[in-house]
Amino acid sequence: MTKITYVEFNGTEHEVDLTNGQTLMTGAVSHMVPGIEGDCGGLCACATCHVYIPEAWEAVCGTPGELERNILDFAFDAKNSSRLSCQIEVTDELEGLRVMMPERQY
Amino acid sequence: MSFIESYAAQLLINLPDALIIVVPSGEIVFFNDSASKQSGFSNDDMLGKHISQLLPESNRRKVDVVSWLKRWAEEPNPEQLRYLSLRGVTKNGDERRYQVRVSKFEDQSDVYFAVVLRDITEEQEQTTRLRHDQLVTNRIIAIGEDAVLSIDSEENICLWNKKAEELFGYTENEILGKKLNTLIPERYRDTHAKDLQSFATDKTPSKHMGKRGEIVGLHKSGAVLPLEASITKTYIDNKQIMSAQIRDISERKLAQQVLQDKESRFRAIFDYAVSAIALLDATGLVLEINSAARELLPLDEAIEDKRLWELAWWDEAGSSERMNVLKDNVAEAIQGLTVRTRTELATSRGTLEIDFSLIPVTDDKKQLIYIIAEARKLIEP
Ligand code: FES
Repeated sequence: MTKITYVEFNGTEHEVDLTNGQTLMTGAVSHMVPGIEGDCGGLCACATCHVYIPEAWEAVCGTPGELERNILDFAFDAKNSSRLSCQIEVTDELEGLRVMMPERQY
Repeated sequence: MSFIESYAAQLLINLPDALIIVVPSGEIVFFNDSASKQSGFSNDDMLGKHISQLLPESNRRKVDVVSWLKRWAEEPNPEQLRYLSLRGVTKNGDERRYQVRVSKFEDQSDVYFAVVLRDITEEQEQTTRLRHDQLVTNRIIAIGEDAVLSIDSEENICLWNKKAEELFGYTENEILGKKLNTLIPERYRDTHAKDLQSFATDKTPSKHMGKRGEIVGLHKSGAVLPLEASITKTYIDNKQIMSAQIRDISERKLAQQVLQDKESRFRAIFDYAVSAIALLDATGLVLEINSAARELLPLDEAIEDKRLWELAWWDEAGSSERMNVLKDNVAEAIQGLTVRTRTELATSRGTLEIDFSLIPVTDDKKQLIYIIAEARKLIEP
């Protein structure tokens, strides 16, 4: 189990325990964390699972691949720290990660 | 133009979907009626204009519409086209969301992109609202004070909230997929199965169970729990799902028992006392009298809605003196004073000389709640 905190744009925090191997997107959806939609179910095709990863965690979370970068074009308020949460797998190294959410997904 | 060609051209104009044809620079060369209807822009407004007037760039999204249209036209990606939407604006400035289909065609050396837009604004808003409602329901179930669980048509547990975990001792991971019988003590299983079966087929969508103590549950530890449940049935793909909101009533049962015990102890003392006792409210109204007191009243005398001094005991042929004295005594007791006096009672067995007392009873805030009137027969020397 890995502890992840999802922070909504309005500041509301959701601390959840996720089993390793799932993605940050499925973790949020299964724990009813609002603000991460995951319309395409993790196919990297919808950009509705957009999140910001704090700089300190960038190394652990990795960098987006080409497809993800392209799809991020559609994300609202994308920044350098933007990632699609369906492309990040939960591992022990993510213990304590705080995932920040954008103002909207659509 | 052949008949077919002119018919096809007419068809494109009247197509129910918004169809726009652009050249690779993004310039609009065809704009059908549905596109006009959807956007409010007329054919004249848009011909020769850049597609970004309809699908404007946004400073909050990086997407470069023209290059994406081109990209999709060259290598159609149904997954992306299904899930990505483009932002559009209407002539009067309203924002819309469009699902997009793009195809490329060439006429000699000219390249064209046919763009079909489907307005999904309302659909998306509805989905958002629905998701929100679902979130509220799920949260309420998750944080609610009652245990909530669902079973599918095979009686496998498919929903389990935090309170259910507390009540039965199983975590969600342990119980999901297990049979409902896991939660029912063995000897109740048959009856329970019958009850469930009859509910499954009867006409009511929801029902309350356990008012008469007929449901019990089995805790992981083996303890048997008295329960009360509201169950409801819903269907998905014609398969029945039953959901129950369950409450542990062992504490309530215990409290009821304690109350009953207290009441019977009070009854024992009150009813078997040798003295005649009347319990009055704070205004002197008779609430109850004990058996000893009852015996001293005429058989047909009702005590309901009477003040103590209105009972037959204080009858004194032709004079109301005794009654007035008693009224004053009750007034003193209402003030909080204990009254002790000697008086006479006119009883069903003749006049009795008695030792009479009025004792005020207060609650923990020193508010008068009852007055106890007690009459003791004087023992003849
Ligand atoms: S869930 Fe669709 S892109 Fe991540």
